Order: sequence, then structure tokens, then C-alpha cells
Amino acid sequence: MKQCPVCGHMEYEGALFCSECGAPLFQQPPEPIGRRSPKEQTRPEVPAEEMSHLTSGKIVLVVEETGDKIILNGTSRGEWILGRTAPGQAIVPDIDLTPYEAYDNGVSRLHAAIRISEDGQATITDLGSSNGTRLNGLKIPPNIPQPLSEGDMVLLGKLALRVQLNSHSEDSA
Amino acid sequence: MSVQDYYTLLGISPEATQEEIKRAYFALARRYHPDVNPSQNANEIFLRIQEAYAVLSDPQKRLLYDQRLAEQAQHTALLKIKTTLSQSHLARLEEPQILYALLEISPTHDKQNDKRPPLNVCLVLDRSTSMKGERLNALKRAAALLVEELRGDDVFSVVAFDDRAEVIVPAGRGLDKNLILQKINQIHPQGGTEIYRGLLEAYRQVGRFYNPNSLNSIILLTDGHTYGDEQKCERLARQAARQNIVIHGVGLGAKWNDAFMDKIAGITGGASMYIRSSQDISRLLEEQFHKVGKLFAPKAELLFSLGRGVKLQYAFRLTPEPMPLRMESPTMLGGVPREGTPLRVIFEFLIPPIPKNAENFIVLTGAINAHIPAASKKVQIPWSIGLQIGKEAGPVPPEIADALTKITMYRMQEQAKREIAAGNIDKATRRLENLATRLLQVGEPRLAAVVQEEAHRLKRSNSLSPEGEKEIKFGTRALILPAEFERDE
Repeated sequence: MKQCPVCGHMEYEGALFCSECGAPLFQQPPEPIGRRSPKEQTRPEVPAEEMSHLTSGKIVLVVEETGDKIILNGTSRGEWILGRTAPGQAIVPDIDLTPYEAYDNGVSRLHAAIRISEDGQATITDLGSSNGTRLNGLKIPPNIPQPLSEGDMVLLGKLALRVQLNSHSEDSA
Repeated sequence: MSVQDYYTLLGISPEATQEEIKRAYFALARRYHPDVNPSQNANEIFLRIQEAYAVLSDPQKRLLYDQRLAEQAQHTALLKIKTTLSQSHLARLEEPQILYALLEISPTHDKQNDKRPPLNVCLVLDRSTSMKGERLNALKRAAALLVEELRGDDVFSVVAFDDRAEVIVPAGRGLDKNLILQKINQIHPQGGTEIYRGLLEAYRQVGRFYNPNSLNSIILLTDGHTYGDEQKCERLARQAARQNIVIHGVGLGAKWNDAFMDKIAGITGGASMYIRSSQDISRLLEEQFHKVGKLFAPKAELLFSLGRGVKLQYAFRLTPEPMPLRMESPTMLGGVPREGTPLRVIFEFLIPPIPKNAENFIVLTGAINAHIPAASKKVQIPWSIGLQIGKEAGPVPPEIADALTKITMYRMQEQAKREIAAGNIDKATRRLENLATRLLQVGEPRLAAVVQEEAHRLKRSNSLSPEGEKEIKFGTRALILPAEFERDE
């Protein structure tokens, strides 16, 4: 028997997908469309307290309500899924917004993705979230990447995040 | 298959059990033994019987023989088969393991078979009161479009039913299209839904011009449940299946019985299709009609026996029409299209602990039967699966990974429905939530939203909405189709 790395369900050897949560149980070759397998996923790596150090060339999201800074790093893919975790959820987002009352603010479990393209352009894509994503007050259509600029205001449901790009200082506001 | 092969020699089928092989061998050996039958000819036959038995009675030799036979058959048969396994070897394990097999059946290229055989199609239309208004009107328009496409040698008929059946257009060739349209236009909604009545009359109409070398099909359209006559429908479907008459089900709206229609269609090698709203009727009915015309072999059937301790846990047709299949022999695989995507079926086997010292393991032995109208020929191709034991399993072939990604989601909704039926609402809710997450993951936000909404509804009210249930079932099915097929959005 082997155990599903996502939900812990036991499966027979040779099984390729978890019958409980549907997660793949084998190493997938990288998919061309930029979709990811759970194996490559990293758990949310952003405890809010440890966020005072900014390194150069990173994207920082400032939670408007609390002033907490979320630093997007630790992934070589140049992609971060923003969302929240719920019990029994198979696919966890890269950035778990649960500490910021994501549920009450209407953040979907896989809400939006921030990506950095090869030429360094940052974009945000709504992942078909229930309550939508707004960029500077305008609702963006799902699944279409929108360019991000310094100081942009992103609303995931009702959760407001301020975008800081290319921060160089050790402790910017 | 060659007349010389061992199975033909012993007068048994390629899926014969060891017991049957032994019995056939002893019966023949008694007749041709040199002590009993002194002729020179008998002696030769006796030697060949010995040879055949030596091979077929040894499962490993038989497997190799079957594989060789299958290769030979490829050259002569009109169909070719391809098998892909999830692993190239079985692991030497003292616990059970799972093996997936993807079977593909397609025509061997042969230009002379490119012409479509004549159709013999009966359209069975539900005219019960629930069809009143836009539904029936849309259906009439759709039927009118089909009539335009008939060829001179096609046979066409129309039956309407409520709790009675009425032949609107009796089966015939070269019918006056205007007259057909006039008659279709006169269908009035009335009464309840008794599918058996309609099906039986359709079966009679197709039977009047029945020809094994035509594409004999019944297309059944309904928007409701039938009550009390399900068993009779099943018996009729089995009878139709024996004569290569394929039943296709088309369900309108949320209230028809999809499980029943899947069953009836499945028995004959057909499938059922879901039409959400009246404006899709025309397009989807035409699609269904074209599918019938595109068949090279209307139905391929698999006869099989499983290796010792092997369990077939799931069988699912991926293309041309995705649908779960029966897991006992014989199982109807479905139609083989003349061109484009082949008939593809995936199997999930549970393999028992591997015996010590075993070098090979036989999973399945069997044969695929099909009738090819264009060539007026029956085809039988042996199909067996056997693997060596103990080496590296190798990477998972992408076509298996891709198929299972999608089937896993279909099975999750099946499982959730079983859990609801068993009163296990919490578990079903969690499973639907997991399914929604998976759907998002593979880039299906629209369907994910439907699933999420139904999960909420389930939590609140302990049941799914009939619309949601169908959306999820047929939505996850539609994901399985390759991109060149149009999905009904």
C-alpha cells in the first residue's frame, strides 16, 4: 500500500490517482500548459511575523487591513497561487491567506495566481474564483492574465492587497 | 483468423478456460488416437491436436501464442488493436497491486471501406405533455434537418410515444422528404412517458429493413422517467444487441433517467447524451446522427476470462463516447469509428500477490468480436494481457496518465452519489469539494463552480439538484473527450 501525499488515504501499489481526493500519486512530467502537480507544490511558506526582510527583485503583497507583508519567494516557477486552505482540500495554494480572514472575506480556495514572465513582467490571473478579483477597483475576467504595476490594489473577494514590486529596501512601508 | 490456428482446431473460442480446453482436447484425442483411428490422415490430425494442447494448456505458452496470433491477425483483420499498460512489468509484491490497460481499436486503413454503409435509423420521439412547447418544436426542427441528410439507400422511420406508440413515418427508402416533414409537424404532445412502447415499435421498424450490413440504429429522445417497464426495456435492448441494432439515448433537461438510459444504450454498444436546453437539440441530435454514420464497426464486444485472483475493478470507454462499461464477460465496448479517434477503453485490474518464483503473470485472456458492415465480415481478434515480473515498472505512459486524470474525477462524482445514497452526506460533501478543487487545478473553473455549489446544497439540504447532478456527471464525462470534439458548453 502507499499513502496519498495530499490527503493521507491509503491506496494499492500501482494506483496512479488517489481515489479519495483525486491527487496524482506518481511523478508527472512537467505539463506544457503551466499546470502543476501537487508534488511540486510548496506549503504556504509565509508566517506573517517573519516578513520584515525584503530582498531585491521580489513581489511583496501588503495586507491593507493589518499592514502585514507577504513576500512571494521560495519558488523557482515564478508562479504563486493565492487562496486559502480548508479541511480535506486536495490542492493547497502557495500562499495561504487564512490568517487574514480569507474565508470571511470571500477568498476562494484557489483564487488567483501571480506570475512573473521571463521578461520580468508580473501578472495576476483570476482562477475562476467565486467572488472575483478586482485590480484597482475593476473586476478582471477569469483566466486572463492582467499586468501588475507598483502600487496596484488587488481585491480578492473583499481582501485588499497592495502590490509592491522590486523592493530594494530592508524595511519598506 | 487463420483456419489453422489451435483454437479452431480444438473447436473452442480464444477465451476458453483451461477446463474447456482440456475437455475439447480429450474429446478429439479419443476420436483421432492412432489406436482407435488407423488412417494416416487421423494420425496427422492427432499430432496437431497434441501440439495445440501442449501450447494452450500451458498458460504462459498460450499467452505468447495469443500474442503471435494477434499480430498475425493484424495483417488480415480489418481492425487493429493496440494495448498500453500503466507499467511494463509487475512488481514482485506480497500484497495486491493495480494495473491499468488502455485498449485502442481502429480500422486498418483500407480505402474500399471508406464509403458509409446505408443507415437504417429509427427516431423515437417522446411526445409526452412535458415536451409541450419549445422542446417539441425544437425537436421537430432538428428531425427535419436530419431528414435532409438522408441518402437514397438509407432507411428512415419515426416513432412518437407517450403511454402509447404511434408510427409517424413507417420505415422506408427514398421517402418523400416533404411528406416526412409534414408528418413530423403533426406530432402533438399528450400523455405520459412509457419508453418501452416507443422502443418496441422502433425495434419493429428497424427490423422490417434489417440488414446486417447496414448501420441499424435507434435514437431515443426523452425528457422523462419511465415507470415499471424498465425490465422489459432491458430485455428488448439485449435482443437488439444480438442483432447489431444499437440504441442511442438522448436526454433533454434535468428530469430524465440517465442511469437507466446509460444501461439500455450500454447493453447495445451505444451511449446516452445530455441536452441541457432546447436550443442545443438541433446541433447535438445532428452530432449523434453523424456519429452513427461514422461507425466502421457498430459494436465491438470483448469476451474474456481473468487470470487467477485478478479482479476487474473498472472499465471505462474514453472515446468515441465516454461511458463506464460492464465489468463481466462479455462486455460491449462500443462502436469503432471509421476515422479520427479510435475506440479507446481503459481497464483497472487488481492483481493479487504474485506467487513466489513466478516469472510471468497472466492478467486476462480473451477476444474481441466485431461485425464490419462495409465488408460484410465478422472479425475476431484475440486479446490478452500478460506481464513479466520483478523489473523496473518504467514511467507511466502519458496517455494513461491523461485518461486517468479525467476518469478519476468522473469516478469521484460517482462515488459521491453512492455515498449520498448510503446517507453518508459528510463524506459525499467532502468528496465534491475535493472534486471542485481538482477541476480548478485542471483549468475547469465553470464546472468547478457547479460542483462547489452542489456541495453547499448537499450540506444544507442533504441532496443534489437534478440539474446539478446531470451537469456534474455529463460535465466530467465531456472532459474525457479529446479537444477535437466539441464540448457542449
